[in-house]
Amino acid sequence: MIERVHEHITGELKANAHTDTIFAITAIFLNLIILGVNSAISGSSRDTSQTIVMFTLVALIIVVNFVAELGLIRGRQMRKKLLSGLLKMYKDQEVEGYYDSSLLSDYTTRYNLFMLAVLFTGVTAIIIPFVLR
Amino acid sequence: MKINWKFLSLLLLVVGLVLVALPAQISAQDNKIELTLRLLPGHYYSEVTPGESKTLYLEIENSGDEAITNIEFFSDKPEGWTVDFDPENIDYLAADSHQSIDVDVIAGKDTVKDDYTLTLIAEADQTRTVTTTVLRVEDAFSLWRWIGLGVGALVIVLFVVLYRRFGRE
Repeated sequence: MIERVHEHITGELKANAHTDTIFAITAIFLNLIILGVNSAISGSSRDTSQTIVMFTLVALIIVVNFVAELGLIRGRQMRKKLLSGLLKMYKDQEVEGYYDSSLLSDYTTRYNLFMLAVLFTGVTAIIIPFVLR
Repeated sequence: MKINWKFLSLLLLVVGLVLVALPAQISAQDNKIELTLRLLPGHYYSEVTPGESKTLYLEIENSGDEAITNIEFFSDKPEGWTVDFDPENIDYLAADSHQSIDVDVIAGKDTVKDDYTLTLIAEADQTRTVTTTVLRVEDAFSLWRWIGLGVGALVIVLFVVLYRRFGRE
């Protein structure tokens, strides 16, 4: 049974990593695309309809970044819980010496860095078109 | 009376030559009038900020043979702009001499970001000359920038709130 639980936890960890990668990459990619589109809009005329498009894309950036950040926060918490369970399991099986518990804090740092990358590409994608306008 | 045709034709030839050659001689003695107006290098494509003064440096040169008098400066400028010349006019510019002029340009506060052509004109008693320059209007720290910075700051604040609210382990 313990083997099945172990497989389940590692499977969850893989799915978690996959989901978080999608969150981060999608958000950064979308931020860069909207940065290009909004910069092009702001460099052209100051038509009202173009301003509306620009603000709509800014709203999209905010929503997508909000979702991505929330997803990454939840993903980090989930990974921590799964790894804690895994560590407890290793401890019960007396093999905890093979798994360094400091990996937990390393994952936290990595998640924070992902969140910062998403946040700052988002902020850049919002500010630069307005500065160019 | 016998007409000396040879003498008469020679006389007509001489008179004809004189009539043709004289005006050419007169025009060759005319003095050349040449007034040149040019911006000093680096002032052909300048950037200006609405409401802020920008000085361009002009040089006027009399490269003709005679002095030019009462040179006045004008400009053909975009609406709402102010263009001042220092000096405003030159009473006398001797042949083969030049003088520098400061041109103070202020773009109107409502001028939108774009390229604008400014035509500078010098009109004297004897002649008139023109030069043009392109001025690029850059926005002052506009409302749009404040909006962009405001939204950016709001997103950062939102992230901090989100992180503190949901980031607890």
